[in-house]
Amino acid sequence: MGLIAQVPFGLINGLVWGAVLGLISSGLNVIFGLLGIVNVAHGSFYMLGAFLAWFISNHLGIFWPALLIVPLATGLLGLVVEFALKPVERNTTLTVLGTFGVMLGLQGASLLIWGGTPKRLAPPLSAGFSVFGAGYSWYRIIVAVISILILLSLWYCLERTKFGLKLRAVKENPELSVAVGVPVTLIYTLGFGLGTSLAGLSGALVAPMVSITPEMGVRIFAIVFLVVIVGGLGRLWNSVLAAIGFSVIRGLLTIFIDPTGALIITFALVLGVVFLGPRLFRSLEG
Amino acid sequence: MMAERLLPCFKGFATLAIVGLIGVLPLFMGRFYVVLVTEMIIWGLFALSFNLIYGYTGMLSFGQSIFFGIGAYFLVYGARWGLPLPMNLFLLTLAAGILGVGVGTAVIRVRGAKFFLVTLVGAILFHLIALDNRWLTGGDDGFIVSAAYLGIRNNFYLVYGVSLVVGLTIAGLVRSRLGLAFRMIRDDQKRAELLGYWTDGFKVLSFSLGGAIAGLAGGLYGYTSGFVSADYFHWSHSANAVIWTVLGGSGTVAGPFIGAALLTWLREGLSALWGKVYPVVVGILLIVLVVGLPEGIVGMFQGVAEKLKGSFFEER
Repeated sequence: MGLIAQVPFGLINGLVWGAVLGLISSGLNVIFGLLGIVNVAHGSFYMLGAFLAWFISNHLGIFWPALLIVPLATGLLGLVVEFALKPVERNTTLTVLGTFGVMLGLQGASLLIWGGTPKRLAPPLSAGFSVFGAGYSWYRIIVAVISILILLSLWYCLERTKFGLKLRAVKENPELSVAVGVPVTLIYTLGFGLGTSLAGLSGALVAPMVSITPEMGVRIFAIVFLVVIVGGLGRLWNSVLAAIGFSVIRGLLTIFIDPTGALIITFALVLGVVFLGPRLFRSLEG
Repeated sequence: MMAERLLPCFKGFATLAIVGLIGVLPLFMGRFYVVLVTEMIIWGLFALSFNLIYGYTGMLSFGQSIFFGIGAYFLVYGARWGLPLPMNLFLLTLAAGILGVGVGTAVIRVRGAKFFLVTLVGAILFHLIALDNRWLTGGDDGFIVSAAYLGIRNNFYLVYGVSLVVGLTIAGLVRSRLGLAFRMIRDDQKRAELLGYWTDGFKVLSFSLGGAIAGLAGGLYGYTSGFVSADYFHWSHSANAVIWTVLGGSGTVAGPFIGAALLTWLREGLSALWGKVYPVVVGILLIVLVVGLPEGIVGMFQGVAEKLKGSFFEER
């Protein structure tokens, strides 16, 4: 594949992965950005979603129902986890440790149940098209479209519904929310469940695109956190933009250097933005 | 009055007895167990380095693996250059401490969840860089440590002695005015700032001291195993230090050692039976600990001691 084909290919692939990463981080954006719960286990729900999708489509023989069942399952699990960690969720350190325990538990359980050998799932749509001679699967395009549609409905849910209003209110002003009759504890639980169901759904969507291993959650969770922080906590579209930026830069770098090197440079760039970000934006604003 | 004087006295004797007992253990134990206990002590030292940063100064750092790896690689290169072991250990500790000043200065600019994340990503970066530069680190295959091995028992006493000195130094340090300043920053940084303390300086100092000890632990581990690879930089080591410290009791000197010893023993014990269950057990243990016993094992005993003291006073 020549450079002429590689650059558009890297660009398209970066955009697709950016949309998926944006969907995963939108879940964390609700949990961490809006509710302030540092959910280290977010990547593990994504991993679990991929495994469940693989399991379901192998048993039913058809992939698409997984997109409905998986978010329900991971969402329910999220409700349970939030309920268990409710006593410590206002304490950042203890939440990190507790959700870290959840991450170890989920990863260990997946390894125990499904084993460490990578699982592969055939794409439910085998058709593809050509990008300057390089084949590209339509399924990936569909994944990106679905991701963006879900992001749009999440945006509607957060900005235009009563539930979204309450979700935004509990962090902004907990006392006032209680005073006007918002069920704060319930909102926290539901918000956490919404976030983990989005993570699970992303995992299910990418299941036919990746090799599914118990480590895939650990591999992605730091990236997801960075994306949410760079985007500015609680800002849905900013974090989606950050996710797309991360994926595209990484994708384009991979053309010129090895994947590890590309990841190093991307991480370093994002870390630089985290450090200099506030100052950078302030100076831009004048 | 009696109880108030007796309790620290009792604590001192108990500590002395346990430390002394561990010191004579290798005279009675088989080779496998001597190596296991050596490993436990090194991990305890490593956890202690994290505890100085987290338990005493309140910074939840996942960056300890950076210093662990740096220490181990300085050992490798020091041995290649023919440095004598004590000199090598001293220099690698110093190097890790200096790196700690640099990393610490960078990371203390952010706080809370961001601090955790930035140190974690820093650790991931170091691991990736170590993997990517095989000429420098040997990557996954690593390097053999070319220093003459002391033998299992002597190596145990080296680790034991070094850890004892470091442990006592830290125990003295946290009781000194410096330790008081650290804890004030942990409990209320704003107040410390208002009282005129240079909190950034203290935080960097704590981070750097923790880094130096983590580097020493890395050097000792590399020397004990005789093999160093990029895996030393893996952030899971940082995570282990966190788990051990929280289990044993953060903000105590004995806690990290107890936590590290317990979980290392548990891992060895479970590996023989059903090793795959270990991560699940640790995960559940961590959740239960955080919710039910956030002050850890030592903290629990301290609580019991406080209650005893209270009941003595009431009787009077």
